Amino acid sequence: MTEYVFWLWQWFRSEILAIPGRLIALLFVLGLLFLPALTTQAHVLRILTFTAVFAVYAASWDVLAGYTGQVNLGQTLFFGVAAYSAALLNLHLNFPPWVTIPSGAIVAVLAGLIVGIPALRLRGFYLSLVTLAFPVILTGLVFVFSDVTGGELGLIGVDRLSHSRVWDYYLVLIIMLVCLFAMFKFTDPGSQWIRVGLILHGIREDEITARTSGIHTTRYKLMAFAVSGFFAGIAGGLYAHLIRIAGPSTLELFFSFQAILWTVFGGMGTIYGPVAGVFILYPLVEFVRLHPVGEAVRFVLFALMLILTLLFMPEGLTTWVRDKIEVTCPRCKLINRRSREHCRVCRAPLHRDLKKIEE
Amino acid sequence: MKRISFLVGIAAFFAFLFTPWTAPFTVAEDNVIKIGVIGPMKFSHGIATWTGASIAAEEINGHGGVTLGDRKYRIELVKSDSNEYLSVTDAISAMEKLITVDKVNYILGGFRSEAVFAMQEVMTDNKILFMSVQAAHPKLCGRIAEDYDKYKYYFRIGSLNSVYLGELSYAYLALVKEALKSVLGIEKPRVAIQYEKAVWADPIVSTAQKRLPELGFEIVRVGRNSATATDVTGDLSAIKAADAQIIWSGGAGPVQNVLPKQWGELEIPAALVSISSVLPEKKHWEATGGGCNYELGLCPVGRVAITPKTIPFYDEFHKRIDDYPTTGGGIAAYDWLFVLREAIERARSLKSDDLVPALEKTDYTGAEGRIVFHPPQHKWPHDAIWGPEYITYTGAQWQDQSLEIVWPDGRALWGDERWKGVKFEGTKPYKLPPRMITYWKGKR
Amino acid sequence: MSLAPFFADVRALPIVTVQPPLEVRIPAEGRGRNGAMFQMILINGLVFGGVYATLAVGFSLVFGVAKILNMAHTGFYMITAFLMFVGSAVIGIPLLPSALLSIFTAGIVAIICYKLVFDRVKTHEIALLIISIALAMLFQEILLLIFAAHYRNIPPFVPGYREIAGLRVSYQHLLTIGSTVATLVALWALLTRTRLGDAIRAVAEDSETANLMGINVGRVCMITMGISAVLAGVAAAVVAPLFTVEPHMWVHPLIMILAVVVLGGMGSIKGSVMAAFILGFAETVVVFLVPSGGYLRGAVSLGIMVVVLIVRPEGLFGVVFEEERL
Repeated sequence: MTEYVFWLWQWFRSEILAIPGRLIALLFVLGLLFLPALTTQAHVLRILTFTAVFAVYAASWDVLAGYTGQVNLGQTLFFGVAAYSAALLNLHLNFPPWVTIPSGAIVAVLAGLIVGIPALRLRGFYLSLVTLAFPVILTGLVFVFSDVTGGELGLIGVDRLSHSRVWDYYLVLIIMLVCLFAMFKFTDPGSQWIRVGLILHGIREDEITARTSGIHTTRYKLMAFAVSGFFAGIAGGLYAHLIRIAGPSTLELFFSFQAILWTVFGGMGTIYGPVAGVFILYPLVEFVRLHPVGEAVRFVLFALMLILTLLFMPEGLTTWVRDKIEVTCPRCKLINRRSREHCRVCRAPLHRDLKKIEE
Repeated sequence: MKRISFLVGIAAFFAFLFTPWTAPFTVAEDNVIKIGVIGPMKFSHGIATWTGASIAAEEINGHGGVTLGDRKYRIELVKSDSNEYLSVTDAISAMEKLITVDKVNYILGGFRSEAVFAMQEVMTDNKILFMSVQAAHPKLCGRIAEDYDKYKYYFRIGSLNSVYLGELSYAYLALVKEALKSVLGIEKPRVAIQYEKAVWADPIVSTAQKRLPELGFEIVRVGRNSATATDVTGDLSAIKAADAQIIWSGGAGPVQNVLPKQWGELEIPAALVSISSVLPEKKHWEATGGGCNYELGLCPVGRVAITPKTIPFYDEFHKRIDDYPTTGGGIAAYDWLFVLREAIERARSLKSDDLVPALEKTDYTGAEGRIVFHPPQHKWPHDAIWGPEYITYTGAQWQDQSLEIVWPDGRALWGDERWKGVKFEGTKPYKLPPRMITYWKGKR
Repeated sequence: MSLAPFFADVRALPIVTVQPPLEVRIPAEGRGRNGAMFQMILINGLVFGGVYATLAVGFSLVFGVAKILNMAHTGFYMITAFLMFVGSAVIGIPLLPSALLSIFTAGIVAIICYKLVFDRVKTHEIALLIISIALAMLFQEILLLIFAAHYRNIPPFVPGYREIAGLRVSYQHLLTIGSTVATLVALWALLTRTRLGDAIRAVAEDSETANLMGINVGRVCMITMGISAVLAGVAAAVVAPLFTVEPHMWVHPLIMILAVVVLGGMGSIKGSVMAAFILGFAETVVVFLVPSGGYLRGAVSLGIMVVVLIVRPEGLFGVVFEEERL
């Protein structure tokens, strides 16, 4: 038994403690889990709950854009479809949240496949434009069929997620961690278990070569749409049960752009990038409200920050931070702390000084 | 190096922004009643509500504040931008912040119905009194009948729910019908309905399609336009082609500025009656480029002596903001603070739970009229009663850059004798657009 | 603490009284509702088509020359409209000089944006797209801060209207149609008859070779950006009196011109013009003939765009872009 624990500890040391990026992630998760011990202020908990929901939403966008290179300008479609579906199921059939949310997500997957199909033939800008069309079309339909969808008012009276604010927080947090982990595993090129990540990477880098290698790129691209739609749908369902209404505000174009803005700020092509982006930007925008001047200029600041980030740090915040604290060993390819002189495993010098070699 | 300095700069900037953080987290002071005024503060509606509430707060505090037992409380207003027209999430966040961070005692506000439904949930969670002003969906009060204990904290002054709205508009049509008969000798006016396509408007239109023929009108065209339409010349041309004499329009979107503007520009020879939120705004004249001249429509209150308090408030408001207090909940917010004060003094308590029954007994004559709420057994509890002895609203017509009140005009309303004699000092007679008189006289 | 109240209390100007129309004959068959419908659709279709054409051409130009999908294009359109509002309603300059000044300013703003922002991220495709969205949002938020979200009005250049075949058409409508034609003709002349036009077309066709031939590609891109903003400004100047001016007015036109350039073919001026009129008419038909058509405006055009992208991605006249040359 103790041997087992010992090996667990060794694994922990080498896989998590030694790698600064993962250590930060661990501290972050622990911080979130233990936050209610510090404060149960409803306002703070609500902001963080929404942040968690939006983190799943933003990460789902990154699955499409960062990993498969398909820039989806209409991510809010999945979110809105799931929110409306969950609300409808809850209001008309009285399903509880733990049924409506996955059901809403599945409907969002269907939406994802519908969007994915025209997108298959297209690349780059054209793909993005197609994706832009869908939320707009759906919004129009929502207004036309207003007796079903409630028109501009939306659907009201959706059940709560749980009976207390703190329970809401933990529920959403756990769901977020599970979703993020799933998305991470799905897109991780280094994983032995699920090969999809590697293939998606290949498709992003060079689709033609991937095709010639025998990969069924269509299938994988559709799969990416489905997965992205699923998780955005989870976020949508959670959102509907948190604010207890589902309205056309869930389909607003601006919300699509939010996902993009958060992810780009945090770092595309990673799962923790969008998470970091959301967790930094959303609470920031909310807390800036507290300052009297801040309330008025919130969004101006938001847009400005985005432009500045893109100008000076286009690869995103987390990527930049990672580069500063981590380095890959040139010999054994393991990740090390940058401040180290030699690799922790193979003892090779981490920072080769080329000048010295040439002398 | 550039990137580091960029990050440091950002961090410093936000650190600077956050230093006044400690201030909002204060505990409620003694002898202060904090009221959170929440609304779309970038829009005229929010600004008007804040102004109305401020005037009332100053008046109350100037006269000793609210007396409870042997203590005198002063009213302090906390402003919060709900941004509800653009984001419902923002609205909820703002309301929560008011309750949990600023620790307000009560909330005053409520504009976009979709957002207010969500805000009601926050109200329920915190069991806090929600003094609502403009959001007009009947279900907002209808909910109270369905689940009294949950939603009883919601009371509403200052907006007419859609059902009353329909009835009120028939009053304006009565005015026009009278004028058409006396000036042009037209017995059965032809009406073109041009209403906004919105969920709340559908029942109004369908009811009207039945009622108007009963009232002696002939409906020649029914058109619906989107709230954000920027061009309605097509509809207007069709209306003219249908020889309509009255255009009955309504809505709440930007199209309500476009319609009168183009109606004036194209000189359509029909009387325009609008149930819109923008008609009584001062900037309606310039927003329509003067096209709204002779437009008649809904106006919650005008510069007439509805009650002795009306004109003084009107003038004070106008001094502070160059707009009429009809915009949004300006006057409603004003009256609300006095209604609240009365209820607190009646209930002898500051707790929202105690104020609910006290508010239900309200019978207060404010600047807007006599305020009494529907009882809990009514289908819309806690909604201010509309009627000849209560809040009547008015009908206003733009006459050469001046907004004149033309209704109530003291006549019985479609046979309802209770309205006889209800006429406020300062009301002027309704006028038909001159171009219409020329056109129709020429047609004979 | 918003600056909105500062601009909220604009004094009402003495309004130019509406001139009596030149012709007031009421046609004999004035009651024909369906008869007037066709003219309504025609006039409105031409107006909308013209506006979209002017906007789309500018957008297409920038895309063809600088390879930038400028989502802030309609943002310049909005800025011009607001500057005109400030000029005419706040400061009191007469309309025509106010319009010209605003258009010119919009061009300058565009060039500054290009130099400061677009030029730096030209290599990173996705960043370019996103930064243009962020720029548009920035414009919107700054305008919201200054002007609040009230709907503003600009008086028409030529007040009054004319009755044409049973339809009352305001002079402003006719002006819009006329100026669209004039602008497009002027642009065509610029592109085909001047040296600058040759340079622009060269860069659009093959920027590397153009560079080798001695054309300063960077400067041409910058000037093109300015021209496209001027085009957006002209569209704003003629159409702002018809539409309401408010800080969200850039969204719908953007959606429309995205559909237009896809339908017409990316980078093709001719295609953009034709597609603009097609979609302008489609939108008008939907609004007039379909109940609740108003809500479907954007949806219909984007639906057409999706269909076009699936069936024939290069649009009507577009060039099939090869992948990036290495």
